[in-house]
Formats: sequence, structure tokens, C-alpha cells
Amino acid sequence: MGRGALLRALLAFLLIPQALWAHPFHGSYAELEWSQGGTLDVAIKVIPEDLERALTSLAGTKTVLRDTPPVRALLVQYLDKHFRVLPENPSTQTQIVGMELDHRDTWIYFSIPATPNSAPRLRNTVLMDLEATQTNRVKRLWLPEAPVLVFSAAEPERDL
Amino acid sequence: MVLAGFLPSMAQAEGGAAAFAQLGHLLDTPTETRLASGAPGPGYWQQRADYAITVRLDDDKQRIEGSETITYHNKSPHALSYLWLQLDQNRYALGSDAYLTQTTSSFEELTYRRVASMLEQERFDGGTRIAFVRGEDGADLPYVINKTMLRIDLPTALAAGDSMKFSVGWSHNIIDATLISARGGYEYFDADDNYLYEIAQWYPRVAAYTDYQGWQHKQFLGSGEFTLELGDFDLAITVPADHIVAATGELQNADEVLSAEQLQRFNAAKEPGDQRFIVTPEEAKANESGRAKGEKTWRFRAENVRDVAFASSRKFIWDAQTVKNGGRNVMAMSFYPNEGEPLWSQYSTPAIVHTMEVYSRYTFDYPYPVSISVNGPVGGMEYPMITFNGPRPYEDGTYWDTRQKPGDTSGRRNKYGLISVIIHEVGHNYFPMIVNSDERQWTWMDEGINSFLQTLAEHEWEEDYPSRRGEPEQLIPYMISDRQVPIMTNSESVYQLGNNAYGKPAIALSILRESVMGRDLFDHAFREYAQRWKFKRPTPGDFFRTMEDASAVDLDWFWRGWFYGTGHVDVAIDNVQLYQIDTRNPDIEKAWQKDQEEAREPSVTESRNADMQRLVDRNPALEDFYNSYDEFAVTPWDYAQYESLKEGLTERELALLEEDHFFYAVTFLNKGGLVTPLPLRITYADNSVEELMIPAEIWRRDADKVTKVFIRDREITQISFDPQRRTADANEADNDWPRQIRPSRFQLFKESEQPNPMRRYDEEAWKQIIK
Repeated sequence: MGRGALLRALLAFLLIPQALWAHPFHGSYAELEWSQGGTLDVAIKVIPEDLERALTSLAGTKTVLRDTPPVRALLVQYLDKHFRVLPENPSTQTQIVGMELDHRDTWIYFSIPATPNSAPRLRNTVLMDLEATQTNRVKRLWLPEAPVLVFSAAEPERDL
Repeated sequence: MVLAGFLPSMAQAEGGAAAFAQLGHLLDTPTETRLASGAPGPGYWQQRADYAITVRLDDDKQRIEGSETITYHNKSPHALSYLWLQLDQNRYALGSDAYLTQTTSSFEELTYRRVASMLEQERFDGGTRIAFVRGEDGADLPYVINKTMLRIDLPTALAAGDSMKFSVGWSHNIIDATLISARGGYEYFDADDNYLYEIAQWYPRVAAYTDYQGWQHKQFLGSGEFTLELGDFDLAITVPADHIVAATGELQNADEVLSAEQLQRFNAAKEPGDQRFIVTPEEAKANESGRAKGEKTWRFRAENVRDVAFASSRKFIWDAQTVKNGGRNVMAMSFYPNEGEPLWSQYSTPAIVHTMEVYSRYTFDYPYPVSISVNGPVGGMEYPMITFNGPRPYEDGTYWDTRQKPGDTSGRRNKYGLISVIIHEVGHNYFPMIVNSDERQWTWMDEGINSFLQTLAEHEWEEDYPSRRGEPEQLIPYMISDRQVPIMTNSESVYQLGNNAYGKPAIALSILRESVMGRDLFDHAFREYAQRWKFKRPTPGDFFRTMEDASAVDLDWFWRGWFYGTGHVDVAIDNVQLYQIDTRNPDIEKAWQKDQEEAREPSVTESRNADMQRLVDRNPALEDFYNSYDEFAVTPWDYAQYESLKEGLTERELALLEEDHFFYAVTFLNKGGLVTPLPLRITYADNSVEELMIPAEIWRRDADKVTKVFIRDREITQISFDPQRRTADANEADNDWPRQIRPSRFQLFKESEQPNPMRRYDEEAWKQIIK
């Protein structure tokens, strides 16, 4: 981000009243599985108010987390940036499959075109843009005995 | 007894001894100060500090200036040549350790707010300015500031049992808590040009001096909140005359700071009864545009507290309800701006009352005269008698509730967020404000225990309350992750703070209560711990020991696994073998063998050769005795063998041969490493169900693999481990015999024909979008 972009970003920020952290649970949890159709299917659980803050910041305007076309478009934009399978195919895009929005557990379901053939890595920085201590846990369902991977600011990328 | 087969070895001596080893050296050696029972001993002591504080809030410069006289009582058996004070505001000083050691993710991925926050940290002129430190005689006392700590060097050592007075003058700028996450600060409201202040960790406070550590010497880096001495406080807070002030303690001069009408409401609210306004929303709204020229001083007194905090704004609505708690009146009060409505007037004060009612039942009566909830910029923070709670509705006044009624399309979110945070922060009055554990050392001792009680209170709020950390299964993603530290880790080094110090200990205690000790034993021991240590300073060992001492349950394995380890629960039913007694009665055994043979599935080759014309069919001359021999037919020789056997058996052995029992040898694997009780559900062929709880001690000799024999008089069709998800077992796929297929969450969602709750209630709006 260049100087001009940063200034514009700050200007946008100043126009948006920001909610503040109200909990110490800066974490997400995702379950991954490869599909027959050449996608990585993801079910990710997030704290809804955190995701709402992230989308608000991305949109530059107050965004309420609801299952609507504009929110889905924002989510795609956000996930394309913060949940990436590497090496990337630049022509592909995250597809939102659905959402379950609940105060206790909010789940987002999406698919990323990818195959397990190319020794893929995952870059998972979901909500790290909000909190430095954010940790994201990822369970690979094709390796049921393997430990859940933890992604953090110090380790945002890991082999799948 | 003769069995058809031989049972596998029951257990091998490996791992179990380590898992069940007594904690031993992991705990402090018991003394007459802290007993082996977990109780304070006859030699128990703790220091005390009484404060008289005068402070002025500068609403133009967002700054406070104050002075305090501290009476320090040395109750220890030691002479002290210096005293340490905490200057927590120095965490926000330029170049502080907190800032210097702060790390971040890739800059490109930061939100605007994070960038703005980093810039504010560089800009803000934070930190405490010490104006003076003086002895009782008015003479300056020498002092040294070491970052967030200040040492006063005493001219003469303070002898054991003596007291001394000294004074400190200080000032500091107030942080913008909307930019920098903090436990106190201000929020500016651009629409009406007003400030709202939540002031905390704001005055030089005497550090704890303890029997287990000496002076509390850990610098304040941000996570380990604080630990202080108990004492009495007289607090004089000078603010703009049109501000409303909430503070730790009882208001001493209501007649000087309130209008006549407010005073009448305030006095009426002191009597037990319904919730009522002292400052109405309309009055607070009108107050926003006023600008009083003068100032008023609000005076509060708080007894036996370890800290004081306050809030001030002309935007405050103020409601109150006085309730009985343990025979005394307690005034539950909420202070919030109109931005908090309509949530706050409906839920805040009831949540305070509910919290005190539930927590007191599990611990002790609430000992203070007031309990306050304030809405402002701080997301959630606790101080004695006063808490700061952040959730508000959206700007249009709506909020989110997934269980909204059909036809109500308002977007509602923060109802449960608000109720939960108030329960949590008010609950902190019990842990650690009264049960005064050391937050700089062990976050879990207050956050974990409090989160456990919070869940109990949430369960009593309404059916199906959406608690975020009430059920063991909610902790599984953390428990099976590959970057963990034990709960028994210093507050500043904890990794994944929320899960480690809040969630895991809370779930651990829940499992202890529901599945290890049982509610009666647990509740008695837990209450004993709270009663023993209220207004005292427990360490982890005091908690561990009390829970065992008061219940007669050896829990060392539990503390070792859950608090000192990073393993997780993952038990698999590895194998189930059925054994039945061989009666040796040829009529029974040969018939059974025949049934088994006939039940056997033919092989593919056997099936395909079934109609084959064989040589002996074409040439019967090739047949002999063995071609027509029935191997399952009972022969005289068989009867003779049976009679011979019976002649050699006693009557009891003969009776045993006639028992008709099923012997199921079930092998359990401990794949996660954390030993656990085994809650089992056994389903029988007649569809009856048996629930069984096997204590964790089944793993005491072999913590990796055990085989348990179940003797039943009926055939078992299914055995399930932990069907009620009470152990935080990580992998349900191997919990059943025979195995049950469980689709992934993603598959379940894709295959589901059911619309989610939002779509159910909002179909007209969304059915065109989501198929």
C-alpha cells in the first residue's frame, strides 16, 4: 500500500465509528476437505461481531453481517485476501456456499478451486487484520489423526 | 471357569503411573501460612493499604490530576526497607515495554483501525507524571521509577506490624480508548461533542507483597491485569458540574451533586423494589447539549476493596434497582448513554442482579453495597463494584437475535453479547476482586473460574441461552491444535489467551462438576474454596488442594492433565470381542456351532460353484462315511465326554457352566493423551439402554490402552463412548461400536434442505437469492 492509499484508508477509517474488542477469544476454526470437483471445501467458524468489523473495515461503511448479495460479495473479497491456497490460480475465485449466522457459532461455507496435487500451502490470516493475537485453527479432514494446524501472525502460512 | 477363547491382558504398566502421579513438587510446600489442606493457615498474613484520593478530571484536555495519601499496614513478619507501587499508565508511555514487545501480522493485511491505532500509540503522550512522593511529615521521599513500577526507599525500614503514611501526587493524559484497546480511557461523540470517560488503573497503587513471592515485580505488559492489597478508600472526584459519576463505593454526598428530583429518585431507589431511573434517557439527552461552567466533587467510600475505578459523562442515563443479597441491600446500577438504548435499560441492571444471585449461591453473599455496569468504549473490564461493558445496538437501535419472532426483520445482534459480558464482568467481583488471586501470575484463576460461573449464570437466564463456552465440545478445536501451552503458564506468556485462560479452565471445571466429581461434591468443595479465600490471596495450589480436601476425590491426575499438560481427550473404541461360556453340553454347543456355520456367508467361489456337477455326484461309488457325516450331530462319545467332565466339577462349577451370559471385552484406546472418565451408553438387542460412567482411574496402570469386560445377560448391539459430548472428545468417528458414519459439517450443510433461521423468518427477502 502506497502513501496515498494509506492516507485514503485512514480517511475512510475516520468516518467509521469502530466497535471495540469485547472478548479475548481472537480465534477461528475451519474444517477442510478436498472435493471430487476440484475444490477445497471450507467450513469456517468465526465470532460474528469480529467478522462484521472486518467487513466494515473492508467496505469503508458500516456493514451488518447478513446473508445478502452485497455481504457475500464482500466476504469473497475478504476471503480471497485472507484465506488463500498457494500456489494460487489467479483466474479462480472463492465461491460462497452458505452461512449459518448465530451468536454462539457463526459458520461460513465456501469453496476454493484447488487440488491436493501440487503440495499446496494455506495462508490463513482471517481476522488477523483486526487483532495481533488472532489464531486460526484448521482441521484437515483427510488427515483425521493429524493435529489441527494453528495459524498466527508469526506463522500465517503452513503446508496442507 | 472355561472360556471359549482367552481374554486379552487387561492392562500394561506404562503411562498410567505418570498420568496419575501425585503433583508433589509442582505445588508449593505446605506451610503454616498455606496448609496442605488448601486452607489459609494460622500464620496467614497479607498486607493492607488504605487510600484517600483526590482527583480532578479535565474535560477540556482529557487529563486527570490527583493526589493520594496511602496508609500502608505491614502485616507481614518482615521489615520492609522499600515499597513498590504500580504505575500501570506507563504501559502507554512512548517506548514502553508493552509497545516495544508488541508484534503484528503483515502490514498489508492490517485494517485501517489497526493502522490508526499504531499511529495513535506513536502520538499519544501517555504515562504517569509523578509530581511528588512525600512522607507523613511532608518531606520528600526518594523514589525510583522502573517502567511500570515505582520504588519508594524508606528512610527507616517499616517494621513488621507497623503502619506508615505517605502521599503521592500525579497526573496523566487519558487515552482514546476507541483507538487503542485499553481497560480505561475516553470515547468522543462527534454528534454532540461530548466525552465519556472510564477511568481505571489510574492512580499509583501499592503492589502486592506476599508470602509466596515477596513483592509482585512483574512489569505490566498488558495481559496480566493486576493484583493489589485490600483496603478502604475515600475518593473525591471533581468533574464538570453537569457530569454524572459512577465509582467504586457508596456515594457520600448525593445531596451536593444531584438535583432535587434526582436525589428524590436516588433515595427511593435505595429501597428494595423495581428498577427505576435516576436520570432518564430524556434528561440525559437534554444534558448532552448543556455545558455547565462550574465543577462538582463526588465523594465515595469503599471498604475492603483492592482497587477503585470510576466513569464520568454528561451523557449518562442512570437506572438502579436495590435487591436483597444475603440479608443486606445491594444497589444494582447502570450508567449508559442514549447510544446504548434500547438494550441497556432492558438488560443491564437485570443482568447485574441475576449475576449476584447466581454467583452468591455458589460462593458467598455479595459483600458490597453497590454493583455497577457502565457502557463506554471499553469492551469489558472489571473493578470492585464497577464494571465497564461495551456492547451497544446498531445506530438505528436494532440489535441481533437469531431467535427473533417471525415477521420481525430487524437486525439484532448484541443482546446476548451484552448480557454475557455483564455477567462476566460483574462476576469478577467474586473472582478476583474478593477471592484475590494474582492476575499478573495466573490469568486462569480469575478468568477461567469466572467463565465457569458465567456459564452457570447463563444457563439460568433462559432456556437454550447461546453460551459460547458452556459445552465441552466447543473447546475441541483448541484442544487438538498444535500450538498450545499449559493453563499453568504465566499470564503474559499465554498463547491463545481466550481459549487457554478462559475457555479451557472453564470447561475443565464443568467436566469436573458434571462427569468427575458430580454436582454435590463439586459444589461443596468449590464453595469451600471461595469461603476460605474470600478477601484473601489464594494460589493455584490452594485451589487444587481445597477441591480435593473437601471432596475426598484424588484429582491430581485431573490437574496434571488439564492444567499442567496440553493433551486432549480422544478415546476410541478399538475393538469389541464377544465371549460366551462353553457349556461343554454337546446338545447346546453343537447346535450353536451349526448355527454359526449356517450363518457364515459363502465365499464368492462357493457361491458360483453352488450348482456345479461334481465327480462324486456323477460317480456315487466314490462316496464313503465322511461324505454323509454330520459334524454337528451329537454322538454317544460326545455325551460320554460331557459326563466325564461333569464328574470332575464341583456343584458351583457345574452351576457356572449353565450360566447364560455374554462376555464383551471392549478395548479403549487413549489417542489424545489426556486421561478421562468413560461415559458409555450400551444398547441391547431388546432396544433397552444402559448408561454407565467408568471413572478415569481405569487408566491408572496403562494410560494408552485398556480392555474392560462387560458381563451381560443380554446381547449388546451398540456401545457408544460419550454420546452426550461431555468429555471434549476430539473425534466422534471412532466412539461407536459398530462404527457410525458421520458426514462432515460442510457435507451436512450442502445436503441440508432446511433453510437457516434467518431464511426461515425472512424468506420473502432472501428466497430469490439463496437456493
